[in-house]
Amino acid sequence: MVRRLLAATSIGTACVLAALSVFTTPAPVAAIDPVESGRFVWYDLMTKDVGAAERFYGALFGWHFESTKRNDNPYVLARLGSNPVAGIVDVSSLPNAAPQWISFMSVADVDNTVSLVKTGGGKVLVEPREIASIARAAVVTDPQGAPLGLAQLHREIRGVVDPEHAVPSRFFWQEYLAGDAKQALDFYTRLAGYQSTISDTRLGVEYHVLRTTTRPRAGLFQLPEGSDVLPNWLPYVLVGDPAALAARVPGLGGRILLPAAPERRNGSLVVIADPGGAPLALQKFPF
Amino acid sequence: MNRSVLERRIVLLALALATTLASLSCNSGSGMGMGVSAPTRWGGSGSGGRPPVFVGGPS
Repeated sequence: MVRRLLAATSIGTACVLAALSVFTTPAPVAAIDPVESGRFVWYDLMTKDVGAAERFYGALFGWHFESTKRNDNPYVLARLGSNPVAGIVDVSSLPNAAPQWISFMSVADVDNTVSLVKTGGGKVLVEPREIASIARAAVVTDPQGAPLGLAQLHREIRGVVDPEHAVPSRFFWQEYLAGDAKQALDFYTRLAGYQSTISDTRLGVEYHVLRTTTRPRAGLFQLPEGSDVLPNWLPYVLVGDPAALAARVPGLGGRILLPAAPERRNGSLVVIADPGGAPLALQKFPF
Repeated sequence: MNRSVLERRIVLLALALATTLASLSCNSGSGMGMGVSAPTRWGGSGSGGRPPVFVGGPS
């Protein structure tokens, strides 16, 4: 009897440890520092129609969804296969909320980073708070008004990999579209410790690559004069054929904001809006 | 109660506990879930505004 009880307990413990290890052990190809400042680690969609978002992203990327809670608030977790890929937050109770993706940047100390945001001219939308056992996180806007999530991770999030190991239908890159590129460079190099280099100057636009000590993490470039785009962090999803995928977007209730074009990274990029209006880039990589 | 029935029930109870804990683990595996209200605008093609010029790209 005792032996069987011990065996049963061992099986149970093994199951729990196996389940936990799924979230705490990075894949061999993704042996990266979970708290490296400047690395983008999560994406939450703000939307006023969660059902429409689920139908859209489910059909476009094959994501499936799980209703759950974060700090007692409803929260939909999107998965690709068994890996978490993004979250959906219902903001219909916030009258002035705009549909958009919020990208979360990893920081070593979220309270300290929020202080830097404040002194640098940004604002705090959500003060730092504990998110279950996952992270201490906050949401801010930078001096140009672009929202950004900050996450001091307590552990690795499974499935987050660098671009060279990216998986189709997952986020893998982000770009800052700046109203004032110089000011944004100053702000983000101070905030995340980025080093910046210019990788492209075609068409009169400087493309700045923001690097951490280990690798490139994001791009940054100047919006043109007279642009109708507000400064924002644009998240990128890896896809195999952006034009073909974008062709399905209108039928799924979304819009094409910028179609594939030869002059735009050789036709490898499309920018779309989901049914709620949240912008998102579809990018083939390498291109 | 028959002893073997009791043992079987303990085994099932342990497995159920493991499954429940694993499920809880899955639910808390990721995600921030903070609703925010912040302005955004992306005119896009046909809006009349000048679109962003995308050079460079992921690296």
